[in-house]
Amino acid sequence: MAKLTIGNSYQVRDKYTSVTVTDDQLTVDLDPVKLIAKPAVAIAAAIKRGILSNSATTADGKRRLFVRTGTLAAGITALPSGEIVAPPGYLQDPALVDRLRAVVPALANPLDDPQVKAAIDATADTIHRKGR
Amino acid sequence: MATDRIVLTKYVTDTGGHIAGVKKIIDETEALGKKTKDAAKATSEGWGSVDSAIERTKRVFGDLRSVIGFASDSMKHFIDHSRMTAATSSVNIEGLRKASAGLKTEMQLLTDAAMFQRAAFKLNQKDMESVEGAMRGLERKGNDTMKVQAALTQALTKLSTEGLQELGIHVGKAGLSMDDAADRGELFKRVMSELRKESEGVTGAQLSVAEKAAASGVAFQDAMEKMKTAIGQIVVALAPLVEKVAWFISNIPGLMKSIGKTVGEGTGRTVRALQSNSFFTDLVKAGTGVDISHDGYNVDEGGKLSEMEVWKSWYARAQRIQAQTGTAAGAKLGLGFAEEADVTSQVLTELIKILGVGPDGPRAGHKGKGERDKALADALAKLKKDKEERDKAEASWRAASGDNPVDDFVVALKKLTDESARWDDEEAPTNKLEAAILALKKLFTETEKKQEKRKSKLTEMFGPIEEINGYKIAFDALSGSVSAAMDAWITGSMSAGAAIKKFFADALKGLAVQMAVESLKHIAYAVASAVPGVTFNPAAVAGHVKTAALFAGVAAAAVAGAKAMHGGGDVGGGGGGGGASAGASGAAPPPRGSGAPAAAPGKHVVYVIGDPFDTEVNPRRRQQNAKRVLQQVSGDSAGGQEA
Repeated sequence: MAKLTIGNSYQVRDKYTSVTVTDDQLTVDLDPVKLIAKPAVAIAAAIKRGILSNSATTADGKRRLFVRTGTLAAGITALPSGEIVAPPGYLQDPALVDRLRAVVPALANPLDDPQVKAAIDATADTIHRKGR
Repeated sequence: MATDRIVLTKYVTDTGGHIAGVKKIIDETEALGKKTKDAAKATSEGWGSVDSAIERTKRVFGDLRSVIGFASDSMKHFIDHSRMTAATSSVNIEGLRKASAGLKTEMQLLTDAAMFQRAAFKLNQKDMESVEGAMRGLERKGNDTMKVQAALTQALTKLSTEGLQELGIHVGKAGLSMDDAADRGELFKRVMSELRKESEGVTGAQLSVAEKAAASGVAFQDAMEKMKTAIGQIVVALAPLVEKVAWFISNIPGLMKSIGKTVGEGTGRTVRALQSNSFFTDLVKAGTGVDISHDGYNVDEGGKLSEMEVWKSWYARAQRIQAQTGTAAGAKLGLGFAEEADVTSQVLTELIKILGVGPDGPRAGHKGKGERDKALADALAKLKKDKEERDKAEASWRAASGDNPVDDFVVALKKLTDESARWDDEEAPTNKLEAAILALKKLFTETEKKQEKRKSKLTEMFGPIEEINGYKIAFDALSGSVSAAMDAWITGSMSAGAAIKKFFADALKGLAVQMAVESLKHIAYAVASAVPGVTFNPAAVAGHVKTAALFAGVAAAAVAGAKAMHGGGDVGGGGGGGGASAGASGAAPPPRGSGAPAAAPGKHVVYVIGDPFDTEVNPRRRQQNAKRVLQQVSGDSAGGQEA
């Protein structure tokens, strides 16, 4: 279901009566691409922010856990399918992803991020449109 | 091997719940739509019944209007006829008719006779017949009827012979002076001599084809005029009655209006409106003997009964109980009054329901007309019975207790006597309702007497005089049949006799159905039935009053329907204000002569007397004949020939 308009308009007419009924019209837009776009982009942005602000170090505290974070962050992208992807050749090891999730909250719980929430709300607002 | 990209997470949306919500909204919208459509339909049906009720009411008054129109037309005709007859009393009209060979209607002959009376010298019957003969002779020569009439009138009244000259009659005036009486006498003699010659030319001559056709038309027109005169005579006799019936009818809109005002404001108000309408209470009282105007407990501050009214009610009750106990003053005044009022208002509530003006709507628990009729009859019977039982019970109780408060009664009686002047005015038999009742009663007895006495062809054909409207329809139909028959005859498309037969049949069929100022009649019967005397018919009362009530009910229901906008059920079906079905169930037949066509709607008798136009069966020959006649009439001699 992409887009649906609810609301009738009809007339009852005979010798004695003429009644015109026009409902308030409600357009419901559930196009998945539109529903996904803003939140997905917001999640990607949140993850980027998380990566850039990350300062986690190795256990001995001598080295940063993630290097070249700028490049990594720049490569984080939201796709129309809702997937948020990282650039190739960077997080090949699944363990790295797990470690990244542990230090970037937006990756672990993206829906907790205020800006993601705002994006979801903004998208929800676009689902219904009243009037003809 | 490096992959193209690594998926960190995925944002998905689940719209299932939302879609379910949307579906719910759609369902609700559709349900609402259906409700709206149903409401619109109900509104429409309500208007439909209002509309048909209004239509019926209009039809009743429309019928009335046509009756009045026809009645005044007939009356005028009768007056003209009477005037002419009086002016020509010494003339033998039959002699003139013979001289005119049946080519002039009675009114035309009377007009001629009146002219003869004004002649310069007095004409005797023979002279008059000669003049009629001369007129026929001159017309037969192709002269215009009006021209002939004018020329002869001038010659006979003013001794002016120019007109005759134009018609080819030359009267020598040489040596005669108009200033000399003897000369004028001589001139008149010469005029008459010429006219006699003209008359002799046609005496004994057979009728031409054109004359035959005209004679048939004249005979028919004469018959029509005779009927019209007869009806006019009756209408003149009915004038005083008409005035009273008009008063009676004029009260009905007021009644309906006062009921209508209370619609939707509760039964109580409607009851009070009915109770305070003296016309309605008088009508119910006249029809049933039940006085519904008193209700000591149900009146509000504004409508409180006056002391006098309360006393009146008590007095009536005392009289009834006196009758039961057989004593002069055996009743304690006022006892049982509350019960009576309760029962009265119960009956009224029932009546309101039946009329369809109560808050319960037009159907109000009673489905069909029959059921409503029965409910009303039952309610009225119950009221009477309850009343009788209460009176009996109280009478026996009084007898047993020995309670005989004569003093109370005497005091009350004195008070009543003091107010007697007012009473007399109110109770006098000269009040309008009673006057109308007496007049109606008189009408029925007189009509019956007349019918018995005269048994004229007219009443045999068209039924009793109450259906004057029927006469009008019949006249219209008969006039229609003449022109249609002529038309059919001329075009050769139909035998004229067949056309007349068809029109008679159609017209009388319609007549039987339409012959209905039913509600008016039933009101009349109701009040007439209630008066002891020749037309007294207690069995008929309930039925008639109920019909009258339903008549009022139609209009009242119309108002109710308009206010409520919907739910208007069978006000139409049951109301029957003007419908032929009114009063059919349960009501005894009207108290008058039997065999009236209108008493049995749908049953009609067709009379076709004679078949004067049906002599030619060949359509081609018919057409030729018609053409010939037309040519003769229009003075085109080319194709003309004498028969």
